[in-house]
Amino acid sequence: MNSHTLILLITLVYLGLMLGIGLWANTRMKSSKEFLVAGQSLGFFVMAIASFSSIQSGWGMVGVTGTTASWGLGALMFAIAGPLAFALTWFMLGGKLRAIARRHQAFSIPDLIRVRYQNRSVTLWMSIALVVGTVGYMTAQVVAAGFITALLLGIDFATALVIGAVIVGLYTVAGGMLAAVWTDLVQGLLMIAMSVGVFFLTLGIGGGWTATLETLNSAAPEVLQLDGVRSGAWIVANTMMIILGMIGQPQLIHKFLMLRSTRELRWGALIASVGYGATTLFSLGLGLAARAEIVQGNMTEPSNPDDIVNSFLSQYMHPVVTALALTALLAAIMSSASSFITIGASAMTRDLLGSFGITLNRELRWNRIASVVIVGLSVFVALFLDQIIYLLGAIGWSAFAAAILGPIVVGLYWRRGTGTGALTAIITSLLLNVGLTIVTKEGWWTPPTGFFSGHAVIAVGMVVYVAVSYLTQNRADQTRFDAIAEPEARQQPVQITPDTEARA
Amino acid sequence: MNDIQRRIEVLVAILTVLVIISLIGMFLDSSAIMFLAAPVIVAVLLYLSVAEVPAGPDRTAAAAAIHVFNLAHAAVWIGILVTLQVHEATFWGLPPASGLLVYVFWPFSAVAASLLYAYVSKRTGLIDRLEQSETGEPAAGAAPEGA
Repeated sequence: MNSHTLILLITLVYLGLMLGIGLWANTRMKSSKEFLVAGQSLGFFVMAIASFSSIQSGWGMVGVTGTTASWGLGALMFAIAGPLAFALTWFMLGGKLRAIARRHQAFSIPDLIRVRYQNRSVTLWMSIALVVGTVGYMTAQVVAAGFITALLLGIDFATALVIGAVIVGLYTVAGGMLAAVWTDLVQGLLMIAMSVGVFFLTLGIGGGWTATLETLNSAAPEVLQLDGVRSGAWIVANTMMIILGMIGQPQLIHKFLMLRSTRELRWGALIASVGYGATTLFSLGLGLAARAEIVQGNMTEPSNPDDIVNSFLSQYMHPVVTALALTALLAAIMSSASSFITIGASAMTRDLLGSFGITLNRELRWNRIASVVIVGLSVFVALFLDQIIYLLGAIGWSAFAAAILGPIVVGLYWRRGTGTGALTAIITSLLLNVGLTIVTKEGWWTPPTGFFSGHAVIAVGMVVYVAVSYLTQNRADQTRFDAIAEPEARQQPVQITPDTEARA
Repeated sequence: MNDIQRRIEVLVAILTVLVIISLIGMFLDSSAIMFLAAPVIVAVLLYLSVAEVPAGPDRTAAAAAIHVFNLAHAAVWIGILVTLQVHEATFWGLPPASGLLVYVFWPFSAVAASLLYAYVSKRTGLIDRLEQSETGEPAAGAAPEGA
C-alpha cells in the first residue's frame, strides 16, 4: 500500500465515522429542541470537550500555526490566554444564563434577547449579527478545510473546499446539534492526542525543544521575542479580543443550554481549559519547528502562511503521521463548523423570521434547509474573498462577541441595560466590523501599528451599549430585568412569542 | 437601588472605562497601557460574576480567593511587560517575557482560573442554589446556607 492510499484510507475512516454519528443522531431527532440544544441531555465531560473543540477551530490550529511561524511567539499569546477565557465564561454565564434560559425555555441567543428586552428590533438585528458572524467564521473553516482536504485527497483547492463543506454540511443537516456535540467529543479527543504527538515529533526534527530554540535564537531571534515582529499593543489587543470575545461566542453559550443539570457545571471549565491548552501545543511545536527549518534553508517558506502546516507535514513527517495530523485539523475545523451551521440555521429560521411575526410549520425541515444555505454562502464567500484564515476567523469571532458581550453578558447583570442600548450596540458593531474589513482591505485607511480591528469592534460595541443604555433608561426595561432576575419569575416565565414582542 | 445593584453599577462603569483605555492604548500603540489594562479587565469581570452572592462568610472566602488569583494574574502580566525589552538574558532558552508567557502564564491560564471557578461555585453555593431553584429540591451534598 503506497503512502497516498494510506492517507486516503485514514481520511475515509474518519469521515465515515463522522457521517455515522450524524446518521445515528438523525434517528433520535424528533423535534427542533433536539436539533438546536441536543435535547438538553449533556453531562459535564461531553459538554466541556465539545465546548473547547467547537472553539478550537481551523482558525486556531491552521491559521495560528502559520502566524506563529511567520510572526513568532507573539502570535501565540492569545491562544495561551484562551483557557483563562473559558473559566471566565463559566464564571459570567455558567449559572446565571443557564438558570434564566431554563426558566424561560430559551434555546438560542435571540431567545435570550427576547426574554431580556422583549423588543422585536433587537431580536431582528441580533439574528442578522449571528447570520453574518456565522458566515464569516464558517468561511474561515471552509478555507482551512480546503487546504487540508486538497492535501489529503491530492486535488485542487476549490474542489477540496467544496468537498469539505459538503461533508460537514451533510452530518450537521442530518443530526443537528446532537450530531455536532458527539462528533465534537470524538474530534476534541483526537485533537488533544494529535497535538501532543505533533509537538514532540515536529520539534524532534530540529533536535528537540532546546536545540530548536538555540537555532532560532541565533538565526531569527525576533521570532522568540514577544514583540519581535508585531508590537506589544497589537499582541495584547488580540489577546483581549479572545478573552472578552470568548464570553460572547454563541457556540460556547449554546453548550450551557444543553446541560442536563446545573451540577454538571463545576468541573467543566477545567476540562475545557486543559483541553484547549493542550491543543495549543500543535501551533507552538509545528510553528517554531517550521520557522527553524526555514531559517536554516531546509524548507522553502510558502507565500501564504496558511500553507505552512501542509508544507511542513508533507516534507518532514511519515505519511501516517501526516494523515493523522491532518485528520485532527479537519476535526478542529468540522467541530466548529457544525456548531455554527446549527446556530446560523436557527438564527435564520426561528429568530429572523420570528421577529417578523412569521412562525414556520415543520421547523426541523426549515432548519435543515437553512443549514444548506449557510454552507452555500460560506463556500461562495470563501471562493471570492481573498483573506488569510487568521483574519477571516477574527472577523467572525468579533462579529459575535461585539453583538453579545454588552446586550447578553453585561445585560444579564446590569439593571440599567435597555433594549435601545442593545439595538444600537449590535448595529454599530456590525457596521464597524464590515466597514473596517472593507476600508483596510481596500487600503483606504492604514491603521496604527498597535490597532487590531477585532478588539476595536468588541470594545466599541460594549461602550455603545453602556452609554446608550444610560441615555435611554426607562422603567419598563428595568421591570423586565427584575422579572427575569427575581426568583418570583419562576412562577411566570416570560413568553417568547412574536405577539409578546409586538405588544412591548 | 440596593447594595448589589450599586456594586454592579460601579463594576460596569469601571469595566467601560477600562475598555475605553484599552482602545486608547491600541491607537497609541502603548504596550504599557494594554498590558496593565488586560488583567484589570479580567479582575472586574470576575468581581461582576460574584456580585450577586449574598454577604456572609462564604462570600468573604470566595472574594479572598478571587483577590489572590487577581494579584497573581496581574503579577504575570506586569512581569511580561517589564521584561519585554530584555533580550540578553534567557529563561529556559527563551527571552524572559516569552519564557514567562510559555512556562508560567500558560499553565496558570489552563488550570488556576478553572480551579478558582470550581472552588468559588461550591463555596458560594452558586451551583447548589441554581439546582435547587430548577428542581425545587435541595441539591445532594449541598452545604447549608451560610455554612
